[in-house]
Amino acid sequence: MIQSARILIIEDEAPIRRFLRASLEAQLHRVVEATSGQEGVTLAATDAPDLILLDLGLPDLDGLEVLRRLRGFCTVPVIILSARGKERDKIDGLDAGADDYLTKPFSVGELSARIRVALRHGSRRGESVIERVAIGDLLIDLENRKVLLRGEEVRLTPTEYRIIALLARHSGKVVTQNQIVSEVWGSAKPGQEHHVRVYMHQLRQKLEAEPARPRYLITEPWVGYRLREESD
Amino acid sequence: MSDDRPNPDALLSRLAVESARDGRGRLKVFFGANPGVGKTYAMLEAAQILHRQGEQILVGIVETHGRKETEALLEGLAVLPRRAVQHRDMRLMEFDLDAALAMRPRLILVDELAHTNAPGGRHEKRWQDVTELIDAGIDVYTTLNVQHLESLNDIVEQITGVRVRETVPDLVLERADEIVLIDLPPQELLERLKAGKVYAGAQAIRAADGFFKPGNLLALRELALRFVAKRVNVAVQVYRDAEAARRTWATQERLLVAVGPSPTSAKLVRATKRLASTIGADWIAVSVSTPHTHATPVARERIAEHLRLAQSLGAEVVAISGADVPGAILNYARDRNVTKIIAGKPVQPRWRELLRPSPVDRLIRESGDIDVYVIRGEGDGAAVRVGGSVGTQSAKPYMAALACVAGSSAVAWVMYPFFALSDLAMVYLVGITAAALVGSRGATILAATGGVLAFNVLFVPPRFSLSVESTHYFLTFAVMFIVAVVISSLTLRLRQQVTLARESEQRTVILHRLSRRLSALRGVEAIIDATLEEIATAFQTEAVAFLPDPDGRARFAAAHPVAIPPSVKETGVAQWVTDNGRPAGPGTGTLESSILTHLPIRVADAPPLAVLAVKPPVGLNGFSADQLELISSLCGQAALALEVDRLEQRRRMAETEVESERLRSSILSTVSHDLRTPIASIQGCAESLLGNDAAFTKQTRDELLRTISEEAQRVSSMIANLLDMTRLEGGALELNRVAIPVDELVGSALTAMDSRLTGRAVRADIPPELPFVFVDEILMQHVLLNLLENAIKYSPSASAIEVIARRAGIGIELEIRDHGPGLAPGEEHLIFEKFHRGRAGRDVGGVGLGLAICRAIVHAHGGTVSARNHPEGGASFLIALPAQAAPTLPEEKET
Repeated sequence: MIQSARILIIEDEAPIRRFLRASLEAQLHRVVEATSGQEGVTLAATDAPDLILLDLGLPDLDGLEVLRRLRGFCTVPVIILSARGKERDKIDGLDAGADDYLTKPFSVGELSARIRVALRHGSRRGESVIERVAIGDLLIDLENRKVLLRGEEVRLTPTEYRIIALLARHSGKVVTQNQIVSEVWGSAKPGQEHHVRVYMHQLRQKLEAEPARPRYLITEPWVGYRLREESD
Repeated sequence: MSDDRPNPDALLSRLAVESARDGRGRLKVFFGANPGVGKTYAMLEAAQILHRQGEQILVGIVETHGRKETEALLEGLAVLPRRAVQHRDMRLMEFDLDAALAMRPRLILVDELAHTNAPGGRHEKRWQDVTELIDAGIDVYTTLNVQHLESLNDIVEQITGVRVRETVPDLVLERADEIVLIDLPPQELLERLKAGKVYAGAQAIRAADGFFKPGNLLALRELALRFVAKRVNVAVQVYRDAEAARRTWATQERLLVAVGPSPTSAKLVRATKRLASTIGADWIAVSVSTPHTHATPVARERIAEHLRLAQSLGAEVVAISGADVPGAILNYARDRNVTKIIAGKPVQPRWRELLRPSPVDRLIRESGDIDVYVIRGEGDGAAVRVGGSVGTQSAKPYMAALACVAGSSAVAWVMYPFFALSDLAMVYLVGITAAALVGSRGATILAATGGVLAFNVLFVPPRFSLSVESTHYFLTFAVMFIVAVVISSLTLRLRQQVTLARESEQRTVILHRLSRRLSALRGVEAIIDATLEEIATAFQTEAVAFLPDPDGRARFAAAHPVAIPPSVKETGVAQWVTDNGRPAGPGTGTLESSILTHLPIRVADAPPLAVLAVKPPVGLNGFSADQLELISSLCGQAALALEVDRLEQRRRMAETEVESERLRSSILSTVSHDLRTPIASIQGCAESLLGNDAAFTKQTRDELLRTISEEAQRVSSMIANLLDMTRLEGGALELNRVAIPVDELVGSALTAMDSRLTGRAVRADIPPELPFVFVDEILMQHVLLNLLENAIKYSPSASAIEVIARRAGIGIELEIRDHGPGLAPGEEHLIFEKFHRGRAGRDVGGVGLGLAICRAIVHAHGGTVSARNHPEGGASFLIALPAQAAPTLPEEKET
């Protein structure tokens, strides 16, 4: 399904803007461009975009500052673009309310996949809760608190379930370690980020046919985890 | 010495004066014979002239004493607010040195150079404030009366009968760039005084009665005139030296004065100073410690005071030690080519001189070609008996002496019926010898006297009376007495030598131990720690070290025996020492109110590398000169060690720099070549597409586009590798380690490579029960990506790739295996070198940094990486990493 959306690009590099506009318009999206953080915030307020692509390295404002200002008045999905090696910025951006990220250089395929997921989550915002998520052989039944693999129920501990349920609610999107810790345990205790890795290890052993070549539970090094959707 | 050649020493000293002036402010002194001659007035007048010329002038402190004309001259000048100091019940308004330093005026006026600051200020004396201002490059105008000059202090006292307590070292005035004599005939001054122009009201009358007598004024005026005239002479001489005019060059004289705790010493020091300035000689003040000088704290403090006085008068100050005073002085004098020794004339009874020549007599007798000047002393004649020959005050040795006598008597009593009287005398001799062995000279004499008396009363007929029957017993008494005295002086000398040897051995041991420890140490921390420990142990005290940070701020570095940071005040003192390179604290004359004595750790005149602060013994005013000297020697050793360490580090840095420079240039040349290739193809493809779009078939177009995409990816991964390499080579690599399951590590790498692995069988064999690895996730993923890419590059496109993890010893081994042609023989090690490109060769592309980066990253994790050909074909890369147990989770039941 091709969904046509209004996409705001906040990016100071003209070649990147040009390539983004070309590929997004080819997918029938409408594109608005802003070359500075300030202009981006103004356009976000006046132009009502469905999604924002935000470059973190802007000349006038810090990308995180732009994100904070955007989140001050709207919940529109934001995908941040950043360079390799800036993992800290990505985590900060995601924790500050960005929906997803892309590391430059990225492929058009990756870009459209992220946009699709973000738009789907954005359109669902405020609507009824997700009841079930089905990806390949895996079915996460949030209503009945069950996880089924090839139709058979998988036995999970309560924490394992809370983590997979969290990933399922954000399926296709990256979820940071911080988000997992605060959603699953409520408040952060030292060492819990290490526990997350152990739980993920256990979940992979239970859900993946080949844990070292995961199909569902994807690690984004340093940043967090993603429940991969079938279409990826 | 030839008479047409300037003395090199003199030239050197002139050079020293000129270079010392570099960056220093200039000092102009308005000099007068007595108060009221108009020095302050003249100073303000001079300032006003400069002020009108637009100079930036600050009035630091000026005492107008309510004089109207003087006050009028302050108009228009910037006046520094005074600093209020609470001293007991008084609120004193003092000169604010820090504010003056902070304002950095071109010229500052500081009245009354001889003023003593209120306690709690940085310096005891205002001239020290002024010295600091000049050192900071600020010009200073100041005023001074002749009676405040240190070397004239005694003469002024003799003339006026008034002891002037506030004195200024001659050195300060000698270093002045200009001295202006403010002269007023005494008659006029007295008139001004009467008219109330000098002091107001009652103070004026009191002053006129005391100090301001016509006779005094005349004498003081003469002193002032003479002083300035002499300076003019010196100025002329300096000029003549500069012009290299023909003149007879006097041989270099060097004077030496020995100081002790006696008040005469101060007088000796001043006399030596006068003599030295008259004949233009250098002079040295020495304090001598000998083993038989048990200096009391008071005596030690007095010696230190006299040495400080000498230092302030421009002397070189040295503490020496030896077996006896004259010997030590003469040895030192010969070493230093001293031409004249100044000594105080001792006042001791004639008979003592006959018995034992005074040190001065020995000096004169043994001095050889060195002149000895003996100056009349007053008081106890201990002018050169340095270290204060204060004997043990304790009564114990005397009690012991009496006990020896009593014991001898008891033994003799028992022997009396069986032995001759002369044998009993021997028993007493044994007792006296015993007393001499343990006691002091006085106690020995007491034992001898007591023994003779007891022998006489108890045994010599008639018994039990002092009278003696036969005169030949007097010979026995005399022999007993003489033997006692000889034995006592022999044993005393022996003991002295032992103590001296022990002390000097201790010194040597302490110095040696530190130098041996330091020679084996590297690194500032280790050197500082060792120095603190040795000093704290040797002096049984606490020692603290400060190190300057890059901004020159003194920072607490370490302390021994307890690592407690010192107070803010001590840190402030350390800061001062860091800035000025001079010692401060008790015993140094500067910032005396601090608890610790601070010494700079510096090599020659370089800025201090560190500051050492030591706590002086309780109850005493600072360390003794000897102790301070030993501590300074230890500081010197530490300074040398620090300097060596610094040079060593600089050498190493220079080497690293050369190495990284080499690396940089080789990277640059390789990169420019390797980057150009893919960029050329991207450009070519893109331009072909732009120009001939219509002429291409869809297949050709797709091919061109695919080439662009692939080559762009190649450039991107090359840049990523280069970034990693610079990060690793920069030495600033910070590992962000976490415990991570092996399957997750491998999984995320394989996921990232998904698109490149399509069409290949990928087998990942990772047992779920493996422990975790403790690694930087990003960097380690990069290693795996590089190795996987390598495997893809060097094996046929549909062949399988395997990733196997297993336990190996206490760690984990990861194997990445391809099914390609394998490595060429001997290549197993070479491939990890920078810029090596192996196997199939050029068509594969890449900068050849990938494996070098892998090795650097794995090494940084404490692991190893190696390559080999698999026995069943293909190349295998093995990574060994330390393992870590997985964190344990809280118990939970599966539902």
